[in-house]
Amino acid sequence: MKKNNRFIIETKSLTKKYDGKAVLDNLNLAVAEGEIFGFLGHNGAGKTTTVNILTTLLVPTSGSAEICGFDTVKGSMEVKKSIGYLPENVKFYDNLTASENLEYFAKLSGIKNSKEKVTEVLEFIEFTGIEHKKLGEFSKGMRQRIGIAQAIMHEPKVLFLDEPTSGLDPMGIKKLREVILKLNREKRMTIFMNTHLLSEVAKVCTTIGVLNHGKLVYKETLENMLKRFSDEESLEDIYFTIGE
Amino acid sequence: MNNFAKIFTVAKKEYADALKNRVFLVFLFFLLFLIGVSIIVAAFDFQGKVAVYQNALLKLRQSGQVVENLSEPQFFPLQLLRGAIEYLEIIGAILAIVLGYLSIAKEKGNNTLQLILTRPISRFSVYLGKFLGNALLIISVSGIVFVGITLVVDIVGKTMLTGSQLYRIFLTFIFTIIYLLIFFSISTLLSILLKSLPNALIISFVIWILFVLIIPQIGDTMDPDNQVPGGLFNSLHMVKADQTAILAKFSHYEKMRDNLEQTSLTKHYERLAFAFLGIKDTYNGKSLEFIFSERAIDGWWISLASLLFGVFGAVIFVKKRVLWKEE
Repeated sequence: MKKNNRFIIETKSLTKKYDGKAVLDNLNLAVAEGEIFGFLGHNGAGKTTTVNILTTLLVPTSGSAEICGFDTVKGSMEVKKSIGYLPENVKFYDNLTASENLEYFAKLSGIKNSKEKVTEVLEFIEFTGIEHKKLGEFSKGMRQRIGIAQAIMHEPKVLFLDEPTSGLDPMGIKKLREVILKLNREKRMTIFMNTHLLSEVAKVCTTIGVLNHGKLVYKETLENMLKRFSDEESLEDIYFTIGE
Repeated sequence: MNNFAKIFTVAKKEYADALKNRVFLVFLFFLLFLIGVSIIVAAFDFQGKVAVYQNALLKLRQSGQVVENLSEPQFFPLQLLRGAIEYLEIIGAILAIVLGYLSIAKEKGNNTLQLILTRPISRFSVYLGKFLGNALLIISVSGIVFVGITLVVDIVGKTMLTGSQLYRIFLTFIFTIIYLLIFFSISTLLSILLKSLPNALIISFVIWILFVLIIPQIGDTMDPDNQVPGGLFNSLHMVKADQTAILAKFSHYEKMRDNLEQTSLTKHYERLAFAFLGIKDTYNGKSLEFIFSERAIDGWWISLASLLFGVFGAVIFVKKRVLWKEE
């Protein structure tokens, strides 16, 4: 990580246009190290586009984004070394076992002792005994945990999760939440989470940002937000008030 | 782990994945089965012709006749490979299309391409890994086919192939790989380029139908010698000089037909392979120098097409930003 950086994730006037239409409009966002940042917004607000730019998958139309002080376009290889990513609805390779899937991504991340690393990571997320099962036999919740495992294999500083609880049953959500909190607590990993579920935000996130039509309309720590909107009955009410 | 090791990791996975894929295995089975049947039948037929000749010699000897002065008949064992070349042209190309499609489509559909592209490996290295893994598979399949047919011709056909004949088989093997890589690269390129994966597959097969079936079929239909089964000239027992004299009068027509056939990459491969193996009478018994001087253009065409589609695929893979399903 480059020194003298206050924020581990920082965007400046980040804009992304498709066919002249701005999906992201001058987004200025900063996330400090060690935060669990909940990125909220309705469908089409630009959350996934933001994550795609931050994970080097997309190039912004204008503006810039930095992860650990590295520009996502000019320093994309350094950024890739610093991040882990779990996209929405990733299915992995059904014909491979959990170990084989994880070893493949470990090798692509440049890890030499991939077998040992897989064991270590699965133990860390408390998901052992499934190493030799094929992914085709896994439930959505189990796949998401494998997804987290592949994303943290190379011990990234920032973990990006795109709608991680989407489609999970309550038990799956609970287990995933525990893993996210453990990663943040024990590995000091900064977590950037796109989500719809306000209840999850309340249970996991330290800071939230609300995106509306490509613009950041609100950013605050969860604690301060709850104080500020103490009159509102629920998080949903707060969300709609912010959106207005 | 260096970049080469990462490329190797991708290549190894591509190779192993294809061997577990049912669609690929079904087409591979068909290819090997049809080539196997064609070459075994041809080899037994060849063996039969040799046996007839040897029996005739024996009977002549037994009747007290001098056989040493008789001119020996000519047998051309490499011509037995005709069926194999035709199956490689048709089913081999389908196999290559399937490989190219699977290489990209599965990753797009599973969203795993996004995961791979966020690992510290360049897009070019990912493409190179995929290309190398599949190229290695094409080399393996072609290798099995050519080693197999050489052994069958040698053992079943009971003919001892010379070094020169083995070299001609080797050259055909090399150009078969280049030919199959064209279809692999076309299918990969379309799968990268198009948002709709079924469309990528459909267009790949349209190109296949055009190159493999339609253009060669039109060319064959336009061939004056092809109007009667077994050949018009053969049925009229016409000598080669007369055939050439007649065809000379249709030189414009013949040139037009030739130009049409040249738009098919499959036809270029076939012409080259048939020349190497002496399947086309014009090149039977001719030196490789002569064949290269006459048919080098076919080699250049398929090599250039293979290179161009491969490079174009790499450029699009590196430059196209959204390679996955957009939400």
